[in-house]
Amino acid sequence: MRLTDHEKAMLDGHEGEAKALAMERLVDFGQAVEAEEMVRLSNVHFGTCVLMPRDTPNYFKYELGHSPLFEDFIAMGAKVTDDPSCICSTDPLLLQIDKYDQEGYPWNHKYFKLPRAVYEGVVKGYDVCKEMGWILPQSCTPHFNTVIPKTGEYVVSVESSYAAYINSVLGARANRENTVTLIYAAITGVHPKYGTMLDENRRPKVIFRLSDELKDNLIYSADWAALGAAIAMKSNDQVPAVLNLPIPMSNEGAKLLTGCASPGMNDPMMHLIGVTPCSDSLEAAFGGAVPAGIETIELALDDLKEVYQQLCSAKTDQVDMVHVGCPHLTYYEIRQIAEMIQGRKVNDNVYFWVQTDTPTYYMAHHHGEAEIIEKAGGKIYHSTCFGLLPLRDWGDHLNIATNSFKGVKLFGGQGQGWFFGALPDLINAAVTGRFVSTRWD
Amino acid sequence: MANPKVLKGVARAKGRAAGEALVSDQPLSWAPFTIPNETGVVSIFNHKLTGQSVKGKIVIYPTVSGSTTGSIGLYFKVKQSGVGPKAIVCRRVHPIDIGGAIAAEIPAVDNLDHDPIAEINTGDWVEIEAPEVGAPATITITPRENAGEERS
Repeated sequence: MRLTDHEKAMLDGHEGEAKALAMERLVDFGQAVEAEEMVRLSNVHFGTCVLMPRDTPNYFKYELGHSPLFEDFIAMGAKVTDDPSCICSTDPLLLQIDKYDQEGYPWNHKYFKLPRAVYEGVVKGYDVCKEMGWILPQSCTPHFNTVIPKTGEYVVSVESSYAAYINSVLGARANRENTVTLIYAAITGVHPKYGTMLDENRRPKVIFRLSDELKDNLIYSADWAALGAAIAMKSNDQVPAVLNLPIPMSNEGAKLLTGCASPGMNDPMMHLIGVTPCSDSLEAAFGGAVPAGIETIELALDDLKEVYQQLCSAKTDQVDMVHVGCPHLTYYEIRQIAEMIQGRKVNDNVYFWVQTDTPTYYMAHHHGEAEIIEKAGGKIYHSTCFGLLPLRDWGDHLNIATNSFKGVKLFGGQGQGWFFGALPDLINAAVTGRFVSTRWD
Repeated sequence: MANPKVLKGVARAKGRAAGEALVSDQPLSWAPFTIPNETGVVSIFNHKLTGQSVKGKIVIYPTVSGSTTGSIGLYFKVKQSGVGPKAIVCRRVHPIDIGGAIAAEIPAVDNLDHDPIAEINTGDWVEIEAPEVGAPATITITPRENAGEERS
């Protein structure tokens, strides 16, 4: 790999042992992915570590795997990069820490309670990461609250849906980054340039065209998530260009469409023609004439309906949990929920969980939506990814309803039955305890 | 007894390993919520390997799917909780799994001269020589019916 003088100085130990170790590991990875050089980053988005003693009961269950990688650097007293152009930010973790003891939340309910030792490890991890220089949005949508990468910038991100939004909407560059080198990137501010950071890997290889009927029926967040799912499942890991999208596209639509990346696409890049920077037309997306013989897949409304069916695995219509907010809900989505649930009452046998980022949580408290949701019996919370909790311990008898393709595909193999539905059906499920799909009636 | 088959490919993470094959024709994720770090037993939505353990196996699959936490999940299961695989073989080892395999210090091999999903069966005995990243690697396959004899 070609290294700059600054990168060589870090590698040679002139900027301390932490940067030397991190650069050595980055060079190893760069060689493995055949990178020719490093890029300077504008954002490293990773997760806070959980600092638990090794003899903590169920340590292996609650450690996702990255904290041991942090420990080497914590022992050295290392800080994240002091490059003022590079922000090191964090993804959500296991709970909203100030509500650890409150009941009715994903981390504390009648089927599960997060052990106190793990909670303490999370808090300790927060404190240590702050000392290292991380900022802690604890959000899977940092592009809506904390970090908004600009065209041409390079980012490394644990969060695939963020990476896809960066590439497809913001025009910056990111991979679905491996979660080992993220800590090394944070220490140095650089990372090997490879994958969808490179022009040649960003070009489309397959075209999707929406029917007018499909285009006119993208109403609910679930519809956009299902559209992303349909594209991801049919693209066979090829970068898609997508035609006939409704424009202007809402932030929520863009979030959920690109949110298909984590479960469904290995290269987090979609050319949303008319939205993606430098992809105003198909020709622009291809950087010239559209290659002869390229596959074009027509997407119809039935493709969307099929995704709704494929993401339902529950054997009965009973609903035990309704979860919305994967990726984290925007304020507009919270307002929709409040409007639909106002004056209704969540069933005593159902948990209704509304998951969002920190600014939106406080905005919803300021404007009253949080009170409406909680008065109805729901719970709104922030900083949390409920899928990182060990759902496998909650019981096979439970059914969970959601509007997240990502939620079902990533977390849906742990024993529970799942329903995928649009918001009105999810609200009805929360109120009645039964899931009835009416979206396509 | 049939001769062992030898496939030639490229090392994406270096090392030597020998073990029993576990083959998936579906993509796989090493994330802690799809193959729990405490068990090593696959639990993925609509996945044929669900219920099977990866512990000590050489796992053959097309490529990654799902969460980026597959890297740390692979590393942690091998180096910390002891329920990880001995090696991975893919049509294409995605960088998510390259990062995990390097940290786990297990070999990862792809770009083979024959399709590993077609050539290797679950239960076959597989030996991997992958001395250097980016350099040639070999996979020697002893079919299941001969595997016990080969090992004895």
